Amino acid sequence: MLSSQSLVFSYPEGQSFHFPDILCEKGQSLLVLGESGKGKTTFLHLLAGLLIPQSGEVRVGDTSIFSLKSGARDTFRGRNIGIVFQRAHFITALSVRDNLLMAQYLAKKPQDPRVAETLLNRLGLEHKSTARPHRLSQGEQQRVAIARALINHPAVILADEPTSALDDRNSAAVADLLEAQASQAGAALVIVTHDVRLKNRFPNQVIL
Amino acid sequence: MNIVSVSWNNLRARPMASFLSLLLLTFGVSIISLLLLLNSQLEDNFNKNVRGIDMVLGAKGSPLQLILASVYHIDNPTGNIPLAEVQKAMNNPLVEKWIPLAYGDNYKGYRILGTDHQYVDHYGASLAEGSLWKNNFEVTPGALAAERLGLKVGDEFLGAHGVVGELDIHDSHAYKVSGILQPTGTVIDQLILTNIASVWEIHEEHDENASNEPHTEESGDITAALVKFRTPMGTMMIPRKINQETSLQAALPAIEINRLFSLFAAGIQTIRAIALAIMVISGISVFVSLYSSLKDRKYELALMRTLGASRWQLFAFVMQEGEILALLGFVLGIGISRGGMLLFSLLVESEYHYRFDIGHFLPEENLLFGVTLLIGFFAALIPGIQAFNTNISETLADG
Repeated sequence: MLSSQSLVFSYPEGQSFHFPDILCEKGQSLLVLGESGKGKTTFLHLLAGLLIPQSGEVRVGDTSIFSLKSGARDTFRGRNIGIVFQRAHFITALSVRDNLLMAQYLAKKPQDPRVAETLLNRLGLEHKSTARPHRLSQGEQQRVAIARALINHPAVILADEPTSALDDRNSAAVADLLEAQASQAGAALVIVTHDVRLKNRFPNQVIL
Repeated sequence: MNIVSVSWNNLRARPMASFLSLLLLTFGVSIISLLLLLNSQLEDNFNKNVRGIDMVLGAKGSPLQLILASVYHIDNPTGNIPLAEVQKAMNNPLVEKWIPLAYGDNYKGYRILGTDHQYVDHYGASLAEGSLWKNNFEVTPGALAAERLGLKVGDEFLGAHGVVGELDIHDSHAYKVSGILQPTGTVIDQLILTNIASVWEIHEEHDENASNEPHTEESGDITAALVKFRTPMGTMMIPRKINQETSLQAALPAIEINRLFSLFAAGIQTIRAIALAIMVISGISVFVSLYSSLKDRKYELALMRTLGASRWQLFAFVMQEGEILALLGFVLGIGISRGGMLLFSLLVESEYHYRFDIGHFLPEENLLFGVTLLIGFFAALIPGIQAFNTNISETLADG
């Protein structure tokens, strides 16, 4: 369960955002739509605890994430929030499989190669397990990023423009995959995007 | 999968930069370690052999040469001196003991030294087998000489004239091995000992083709004498008296060796400074490599934060790359210095019959280890702080 209340954030340059409150229950999906410059990424970073708001609150389950100390919030994020970015980024020195294990390691969870392999199978990536991430196609990379977001069984999955860099076919596939995996894992899924192709796909919407 | 393996993979992902840093570090460490080893071994060897010798008597000439020849057996003797004159000079209550030395021959490059049994006692050598020389032309080689020359009790061999060389063989008299000494780790190991009378006798028949090489030609001459005084007073009074009043030269090993080391010291210090400079440059190379790679990895670091890494973990992550290089550089450097020392030791041993011990780890090398880690630390510090301060949100938004 993810919720936000009266989040306010302003950049030092003076740009200031007041964000609508949201609520996303377990297994549900929420689409946050907004034009460029409306603070979509800022909102997502607030929800992930990567930015600290001037005021307001974000709760994941029973935890108010801004009441945690910096280091504890990092660990909490690693364990409970999976994030998928517009362009997939990886630790380039590591293979696909090791990138997934790294996510377990950094979240201070036991490393389980079986979990990683199962997940890669589920996303049709079993043959890419030992490849370096940058050797993969964009669609494949985005699927690995989704696998990484899922590996710690997070309560919340946040996706920042996960489809806007993809063509129509891949875009639909990634959206389907995100929704299916999130509901299967019982995670709350929040997608922040300006991609109109997703507009008709998710009934729950908030507009910035 | 852990942070160390990521660091390791990162280093391997930019092999050229890592290689350069490592090369410089290894180079610096190995030079310094080699110098330390060399210095300690030389000092060790020089001090071990000079122990208990307060003064050396010999012919006029360079005092350093006299010491090198008669204490360390690595230079030519300065000449010969009459035994009678030595005996007269040594007739002094301040003298505790004196040991006569007479050079004559060598056997395949190992010096045959005429002396008395005091010499064996002085270096604390004991017999491995057989007995000490008693009659003329009986010899007792030190452990190293016996081993290298393959000498056994009862073997006979012909000596060659002079302290080196095999051209001029004395074929009238063969030496016979009476016994072999235990190893002592001092110069006695590389000598073949006999009595002084043998050295005299063999050269009496040799006078017609006498060369200019210093060796004991005539009966009654010796090459040098090692002297120990009863009190430090002897060191203060007797050498001056001898140098002024007799044709002998008195040289003090302590002073000459100090002079030799101060000659070395300037050179050693210069090389050490150069090696330190190389290590500092290697530190800069580590810094540049980390700093420039950090630019490419900014997003990666931000990503690690989103996956649960703390600021401190990222700091440690970058520091670790510097320290892995430092550690590798140190281990390789120490390995190379040991290899170099082994080569040097083989070289010196075949040339001078000195043996070096290369196994042990010097206390100064602990310090060197600390300095190497410190260089790794400071090289990685600024990149580490940058990693600590990565603005995740901004970096991710730019990505």
